[in-house]
Amino acid sequence: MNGVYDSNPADRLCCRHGCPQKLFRPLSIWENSCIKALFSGTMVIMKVLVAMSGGVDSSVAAALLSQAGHEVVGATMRLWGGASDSGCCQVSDVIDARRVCDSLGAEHLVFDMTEEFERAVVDNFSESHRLGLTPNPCVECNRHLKFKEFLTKAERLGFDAIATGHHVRLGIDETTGETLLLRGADRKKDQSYVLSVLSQEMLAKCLFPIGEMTKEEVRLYASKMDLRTAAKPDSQDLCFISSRNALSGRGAFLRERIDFHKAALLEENTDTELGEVEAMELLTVGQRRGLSFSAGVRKYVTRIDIDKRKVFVGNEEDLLVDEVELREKTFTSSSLVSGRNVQVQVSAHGKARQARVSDKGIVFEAKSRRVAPGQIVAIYEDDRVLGSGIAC
Amino acid sequence: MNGRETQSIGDGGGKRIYFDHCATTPMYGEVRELLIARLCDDFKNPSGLYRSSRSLRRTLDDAREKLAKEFCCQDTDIIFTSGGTESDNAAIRGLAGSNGPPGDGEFPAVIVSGVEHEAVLKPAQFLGASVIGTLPDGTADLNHLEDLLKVRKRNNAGLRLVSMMAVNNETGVIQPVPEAVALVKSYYPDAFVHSDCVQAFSSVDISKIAAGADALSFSAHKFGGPIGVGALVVKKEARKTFMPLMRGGQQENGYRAGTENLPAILGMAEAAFICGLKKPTETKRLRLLAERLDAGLKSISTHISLVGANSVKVPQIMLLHIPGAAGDELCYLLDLEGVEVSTGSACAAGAREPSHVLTAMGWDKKRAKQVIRVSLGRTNTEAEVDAFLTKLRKVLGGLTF
Repeated sequence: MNGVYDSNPADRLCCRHGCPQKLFRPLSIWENSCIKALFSGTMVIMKVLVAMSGGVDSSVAAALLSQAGHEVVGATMRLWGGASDSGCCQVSDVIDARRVCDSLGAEHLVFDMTEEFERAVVDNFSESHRLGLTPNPCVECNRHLKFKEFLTKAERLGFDAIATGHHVRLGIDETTGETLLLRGADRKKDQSYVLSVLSQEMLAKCLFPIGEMTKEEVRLYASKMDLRTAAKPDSQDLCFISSRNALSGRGAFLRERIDFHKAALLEENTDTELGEVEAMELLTVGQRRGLSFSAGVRKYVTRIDIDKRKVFVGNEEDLLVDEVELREKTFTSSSLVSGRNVQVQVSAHGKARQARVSDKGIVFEAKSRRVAPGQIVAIYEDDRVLGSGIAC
Repeated sequence: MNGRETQSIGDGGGKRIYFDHCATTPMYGEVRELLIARLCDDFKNPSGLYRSSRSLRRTLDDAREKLAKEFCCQDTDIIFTSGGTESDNAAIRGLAGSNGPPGDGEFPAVIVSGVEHEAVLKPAQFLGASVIGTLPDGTADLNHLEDLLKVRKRNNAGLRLVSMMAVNNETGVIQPVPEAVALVKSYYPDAFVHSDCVQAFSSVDISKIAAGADALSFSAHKFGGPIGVGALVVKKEARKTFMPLMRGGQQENGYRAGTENLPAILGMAEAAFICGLKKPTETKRLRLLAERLDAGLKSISTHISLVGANSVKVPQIMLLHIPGAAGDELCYLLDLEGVEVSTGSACAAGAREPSHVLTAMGWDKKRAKQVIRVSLGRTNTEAEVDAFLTKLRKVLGGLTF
């Protein structure tokens, strides 16, 4: 196959790695060490534990590192022990990951992390809904499982670093020496939002080998390397919710874990009672669909008062706010300081909005829609992740 | 691509130490030779009508007789199978006399112990079986079994089958099978008792168990025979109602259809004979090795404990609880050092799950993951035990728990 890497080798270089790294951008610690090693004649071989879901991205991440000469061991985390049809944590995924490792001559391990996942992700998901919040389970999984439990395990097992198949890049701030977490080269696939909970300590031990590639390039590389996951579809849904229909699946999933309560539906400004909702725990601030009343105009959920069992709805302008208070802040970079002009993103692939960092959280440059409490607000300076917090 | 050799990670250097004889144990040299010879020659089907087939039929019958002596049963009791899992499945499903869970208000046809191998547990669960409680020392609770029997009796409910393994494959704890047989027969004289002897044959005298139980399971590769062959012993009375798992042929008197795997069966018979012959001396030798290992463990850390230490157990199966350590991580690190041990059970995906045996003993899931299983066998030596202790000390020293 005459792929991108055959036809265009000149603009892609990373020492002897052969991995598709573009030049003229900040280099990651890893790349710096590689280049130094290249010029000093001592290639730094690292022992890397690659988190492999059985998908194409992590397969290529492992392949790139292996090709680069690193000692690679693949590991699949078994996270969810219950039923799922979303294509995650299935035996077939483990087989895919194992066979990719086999083809790379790498060992493959499987870790049972179902209990940790249940505690840190599923319980948090249920509890958040009980409190009327809108959780980000994928972010919590990254925070507690992939970049904490998994990373700690890797350290205990003597690995120098872990790698994942996330679409993000690393760089280095020449003045401060800080590791930079940057958006992935493929903007459509950029996963910096779900990794905005990583700290400097975590980043120092992480590699994201495919961050410079587009999804097409990843698939092309996988295909060129004859990896069995080359054409595997991307996983989309929450791995622990068993349904093609996310809403009904979420409801059915939560019904087994928390009690649902009816709530009065009130007009935001007038307190006029408009009707009733069956399960206020399933509603999200900003939600428009699924409200069982006809008002003639579009109405959005503006507030959920769990204690008083009231759900308020209003027009789009009723949702607009100036600022968002944040809790459980992560400082990915020390430059996340009050007064700094930044951009914020409130969903995985949402549009970034201009804002300013305040003591309590962030202040929008122009009034913006209220962020559903519980959602992660990721803070950027251009491509660089500065940190994040959970919307109050 | 794919031209790369396996990486340097994990070769451990030097000769590897195999301490996982419960998983499988190497074939005896004699068995290997016999197997190779039989695979190369004698390709005929023992059911053929010509003299060369009849000759093979005779060797098959000879093997059956030879095995009957070792398995303490009649030759006609033996049904050859593909191994322990098939034997267990065939016993449960063949003797339970039902095809599914009981209806509302009915009692299940089967009672099993909570520490059974999944090859018994899963088919039993499929039939909705009652489960005998497990004492904290790893033995089945006979008082609970009696309670289960009494409740049934009081409700005029029947009972078809009770299954209790002879030696637990994770802890090495010897289960009270003869006592269970006596108890079951005192309440239900017509009920059958099955005992999974897969792990027991190489380590204990099974004659007492075989004298009482109506069905017994065996697997050749656990006692020096080939993988993929085993036997289910079903006594005459139990055979009257036995429902075969495999149908479609008259082999094994119609109890297990399918052309007999003659080379493997002959290998199993030879292995059982050798194992039986060596059992008394080998048991003593392994006891000494296990004691050496146990003493060494105490010198490494007083926190390491042997699961089931206060119960009657076979010494060579040692489940070690190492507080604070994750079993799967220890296995990985020991593997890097060239030592092969296990953690216990695994799920289909290959992840190490908390052992159902330990949870049955009342352990919580977190604690149940802090174990490794060391199982010694005939190839192991004192030098290997000492080397293992050195490597374990090194691995534990490098971990910060």
